[in-house]
Amino acid sequence: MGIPLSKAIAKIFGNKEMRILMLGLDAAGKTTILYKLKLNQSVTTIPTVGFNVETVVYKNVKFNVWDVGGQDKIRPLWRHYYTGTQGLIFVIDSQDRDRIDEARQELHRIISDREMKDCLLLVFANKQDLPGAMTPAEVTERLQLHTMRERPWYVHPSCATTGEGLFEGLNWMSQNVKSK
Amino acid sequence: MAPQHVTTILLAEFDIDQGSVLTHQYPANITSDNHVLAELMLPDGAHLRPADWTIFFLNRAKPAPWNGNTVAADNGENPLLYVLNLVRTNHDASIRRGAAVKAMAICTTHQYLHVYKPVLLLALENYFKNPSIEVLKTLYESVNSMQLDPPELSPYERMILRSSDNKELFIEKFEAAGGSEDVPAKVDVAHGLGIVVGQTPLKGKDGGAPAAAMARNRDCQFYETKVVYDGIKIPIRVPLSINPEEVGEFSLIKLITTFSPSSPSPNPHPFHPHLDSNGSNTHPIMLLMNALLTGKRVIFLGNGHPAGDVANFVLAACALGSGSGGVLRGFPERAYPYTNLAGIDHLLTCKGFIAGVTNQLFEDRTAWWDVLCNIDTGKITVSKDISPIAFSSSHSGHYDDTRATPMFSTGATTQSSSKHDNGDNDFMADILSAIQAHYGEMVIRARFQEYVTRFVQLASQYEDQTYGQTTIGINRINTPESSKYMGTGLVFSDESSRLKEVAANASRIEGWRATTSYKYLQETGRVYIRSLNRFERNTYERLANETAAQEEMSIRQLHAARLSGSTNSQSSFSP
Repeated sequence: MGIPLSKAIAKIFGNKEMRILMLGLDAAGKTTILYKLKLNQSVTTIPTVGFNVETVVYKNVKFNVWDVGGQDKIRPLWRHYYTGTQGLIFVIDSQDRDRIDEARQELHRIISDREMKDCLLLVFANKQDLPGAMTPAEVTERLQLHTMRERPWYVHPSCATTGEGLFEGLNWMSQNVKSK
Repeated sequence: MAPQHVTTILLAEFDIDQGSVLTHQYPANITSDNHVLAELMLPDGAHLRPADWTIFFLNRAKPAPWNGNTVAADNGENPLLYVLNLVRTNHDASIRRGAAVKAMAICTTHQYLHVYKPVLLLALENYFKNPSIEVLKTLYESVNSMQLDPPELSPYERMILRSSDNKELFIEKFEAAGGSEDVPAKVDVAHGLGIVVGQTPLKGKDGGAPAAAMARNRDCQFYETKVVYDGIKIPIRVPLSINPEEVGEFSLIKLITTFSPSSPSPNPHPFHPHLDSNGSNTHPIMLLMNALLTGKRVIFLGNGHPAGDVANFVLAACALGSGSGGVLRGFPERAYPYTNLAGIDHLLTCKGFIAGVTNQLFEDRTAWWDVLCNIDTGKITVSKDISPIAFSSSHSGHYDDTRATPMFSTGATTQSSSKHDNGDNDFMADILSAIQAHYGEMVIRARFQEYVTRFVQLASQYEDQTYGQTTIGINRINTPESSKYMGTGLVFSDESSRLKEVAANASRIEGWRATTSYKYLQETGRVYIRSLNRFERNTYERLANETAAQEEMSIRQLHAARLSGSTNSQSSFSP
């Protein structure tokens, strides 16, 4: 009956916890985003073998962010992380026009999974600092996000190295997460 | 042909575009499932640290007894391969994305696979400099040209050697193993290792040889040899007193101290008859022991740890459950010292496993395991999803037809948990004070070997008492000349203490009876009885011929008895 006490307290005091899964093609900037959020520093990253996981607290919301490596051969492992995920951050290299269709296919494959049906979708149109980067509108178009009816989604421009746009994205997540 | 010490060398790398890839297998492919293998070789978080040693086992494709096959699948033709793997991350600003992650692995049938660490380190270094299959070939050839003819020790001799500090014990065996024709080569080995020749000569048939043997081996716990790799002589010390199920280098003491709370508190999970042999006051190590004995799915989790850390806990757990590798079998074959999400699909097909992981995701997935041991917190958790009764229909038991309601297990399950005391807590207190007093690893291992031996003897008593017969251990049925073995087995001060102890162990014995280690014991029990007779026979032969003749007779009788016995048991065994 009702909600457990700890959840009730969390609700009153505004402490929420969110499990976030961050995916995207390799070299999109996932790990750089993770450590910029965590440490507010631009770190030099190398390809992620397996995953990184960090807790980021922002505006009373505790985000457990899982950053999973994005190379082709390791994408089949993504599905193991779906259960319990409340928010998906899908990171796009906005300069990489060659692979935007590949990114779209991967994104649609993820969100069509049964485990992800109630999950929020935040797309970072990353690497906005690079010349010729696609605009958020163009990314929205190329990812065919308008076809998604039942799911709250949001595309936000970002630059992981400077941190621009990252917290705005988290803000959207925290405002739209359904309290369980 | 020279014996194959190492069957295969593997090379995997983290391709920055594709992900984990198995680049080479030398001399031949051992698996077609390249991707899972590559994932195991490149453990989670490899990018976070300069190097990580991992271990995993291969060749489980053999028909596993728990899949409904008989135990007949012989280890000889398709042995369990032990894989020692080294992964390294080299940061290099000149290459795209700033780093190269490569891993090399040695697949061997030797349970002392840790001896290959130095040579693997050198070879991977060479591969970074010159990424070619030639590096694998050179490594393969040099490890396989290692001279390896350690003295043969019987299980009894091994047992004596294990508990001895005498560095010259069984030196005569070294002499015998050395063989006269290749003594010069061996002397060369000695020089290569910088061993001082000129120890106290030992008495022996031909005087000089024992001294030479002693010169080669400073410590009879080890057989010393070398691998010459890339012009470098690398000394190799092969441990001689290891038990069959002890794999690699691990510390049982570390396992025990990690999971022994400083102030014990009652276990919070609901009572489980297999696990909680002392009710809610079951010591965590005993809970783990029970989980291992009854074939539960056990996970060691080290969040963000190097894979090598969890692997050593898994190897130690294999030793814990098997009685320091010397009493029960079937532990390494269901051990996954390191695994990750890539291996999960396979892992979940195993009825009971012992696995090491570094991904905290496993903690949330309570349906994947029965018992989770967190190496950081030292806490052992029983899954809320553990099946309350673990007897599966496929293991409906050896004595299906005659199975009576076990006399004790119902009592044990309902028994007030606080009243429960089977002496385990005293045993653990004893172990912990021994560790505190700095008793060595081998002393602690010996205590656990004794413990599991006693457990098996209790199980034999329990079977005899509950089902009216037993196929494990030495008893009236399998030793026709029972008078000769009188005095074998457990001794109790009186009948009521015997009943009490058997009753206190009944539930976990029932759990164990459904596992492969139990079936293996039934099988090896038969072999053991035979070898026991053979051992005696050899002894008598040397003493007097007529005794030997008698022994032959007894073996014939035994064979006859065993044959009739095994036909009976097979008919009721087939599902």
